[in-house]
Amino acid sequence: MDKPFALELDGLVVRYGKGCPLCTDSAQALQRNRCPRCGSIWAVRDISLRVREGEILGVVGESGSGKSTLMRALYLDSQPTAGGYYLGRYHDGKTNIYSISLQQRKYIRSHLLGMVYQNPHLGLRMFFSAGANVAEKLIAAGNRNVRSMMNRTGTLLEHIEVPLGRLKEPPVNFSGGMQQRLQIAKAVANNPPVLLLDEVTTGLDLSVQARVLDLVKRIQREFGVTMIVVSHDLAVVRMLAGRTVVMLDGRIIEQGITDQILEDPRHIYTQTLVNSLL
Amino acid sequence: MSSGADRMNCGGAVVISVRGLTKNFTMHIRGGLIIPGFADVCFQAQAGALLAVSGPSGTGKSSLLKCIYRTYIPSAGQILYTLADGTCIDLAAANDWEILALRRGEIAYVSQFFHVLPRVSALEILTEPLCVRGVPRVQALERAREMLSRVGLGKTLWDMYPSTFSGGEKQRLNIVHAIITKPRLLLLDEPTASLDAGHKERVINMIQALKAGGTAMIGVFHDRDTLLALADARYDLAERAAGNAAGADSAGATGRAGSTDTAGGANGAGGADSSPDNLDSNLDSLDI
Repeated sequence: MDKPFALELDGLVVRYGKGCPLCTDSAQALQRNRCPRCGSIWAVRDISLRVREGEILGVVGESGSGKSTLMRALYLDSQPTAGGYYLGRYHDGKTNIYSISLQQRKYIRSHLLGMVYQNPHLGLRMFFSAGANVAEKLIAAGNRNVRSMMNRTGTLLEHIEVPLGRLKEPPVNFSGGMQQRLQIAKAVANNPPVLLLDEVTTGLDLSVQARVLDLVKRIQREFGVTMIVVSHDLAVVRMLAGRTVVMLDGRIIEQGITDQILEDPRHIYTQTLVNSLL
Repeated sequence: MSSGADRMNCGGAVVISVRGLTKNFTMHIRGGLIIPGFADVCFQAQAGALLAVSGPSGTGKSSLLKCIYRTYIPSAGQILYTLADGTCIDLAAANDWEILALRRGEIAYVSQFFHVLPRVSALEILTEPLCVRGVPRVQALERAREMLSRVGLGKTLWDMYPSTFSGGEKQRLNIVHAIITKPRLLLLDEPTASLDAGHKERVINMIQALKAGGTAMIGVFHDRDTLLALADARYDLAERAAGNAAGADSAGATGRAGSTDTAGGANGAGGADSSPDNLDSNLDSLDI
């Protein structure tokens, strides 16, 4: 029954601001996640996670709870204040990724991780063609063969149901749903074992949401990719995730099997959240 | 949830043994109000037998099933589940991954209300649990078609989305979805509540067949016909609660548990069709 861990996070802390003796010594001093004396924001406080291979983990929580900061730290967009980060496919999970060189991090970002940002402007080069956006990721992974890149890009666009005729158009011309799907194509271009999805369906209308979620489910079913799915929409998490963690003020306040979190929540915040939904 | 549950040897044909199981709900949004679900539930369920949990509405029948499936976290007690290899795991203390693996492999649950993924066809819904277990797609499809025919869902429905199904059609699909993998433990929450007589009989026959194959079952039934056709033993939550309230009525409680064991045991070896007559007389005094 024991499956290897695809991803492990140990005591992740992300602080914006210098910090002072008051907030460094005692978490109780914070007002929500802000230090009343020095004004530092503790966006992520001591988060530890384990995700098994092929598993989808849901992350829910209100805005400002640290979900996106967590995801950016996982995609190595920022250097956290403290913590250990291990990937099963990198040195058998024995090396802390926050301690390695920039070059090695670049390798991890292009080979082992895929990221879909809430805001497509962060994940796509809006004025480069759709094809170039995908090719960028392929080149980053060492691909230099134009024909094979064209083929791969074509396959991916077919997969995300973007007409091949629009390959040369820049994503700035695309609808929001198409941009999100193009981001997904870019993220999975190199078949990464771990995919990070930050609010992929937020702001999309219902029918488009449905197509994006179908795409995510298909990727999971066909390739067994490990995923972390952040959403403030509990329905998305119910649909995709086997386990779910609930974040509040930068901490994980509750975690469990998704249907247990939704039907038998223990924490007051989760109970409020679930009761606002149902 | 952090550590794995203790494993020990249980042995015998007992598939699940519930001991002192208690569930209370703490409502923080109502100022920490504690709502009792059920208390100190003890029973065993055997391979090839169905244990019917009875009691009036609100005594915690569905909550009990949800605790065993771990949609609810029990407040106290043990749920000792014996795996195929004879080792035993406490479902009340097992970690999330262990529970998810058991749900994929051996424990199935037919909920009162069917939650399905939108925009997935009936056939796809049924092949998925088989494919997850490594059954080749062609065989999975074949088995799904066979099961759909047996439960009386016509060919026109196979490629449709279940959100467009009638209540009875959804319920039959729900049951097939749970039993298609031939689970070792099946939890049934009013599986025939919205079925007409003909379809009810089909469902009963399918559950009978699965039971004859050795699946242990725990069920909640408001429907008397289904109960009489399927149940081998009975556990009454209201009597149990009354016994607890009365204090030292432990003799009565053990007596009840004892009768549960014999009925289940007698049936466990012989198959599914032993006479439910003695059960019937018990039932007359019951408000179900």
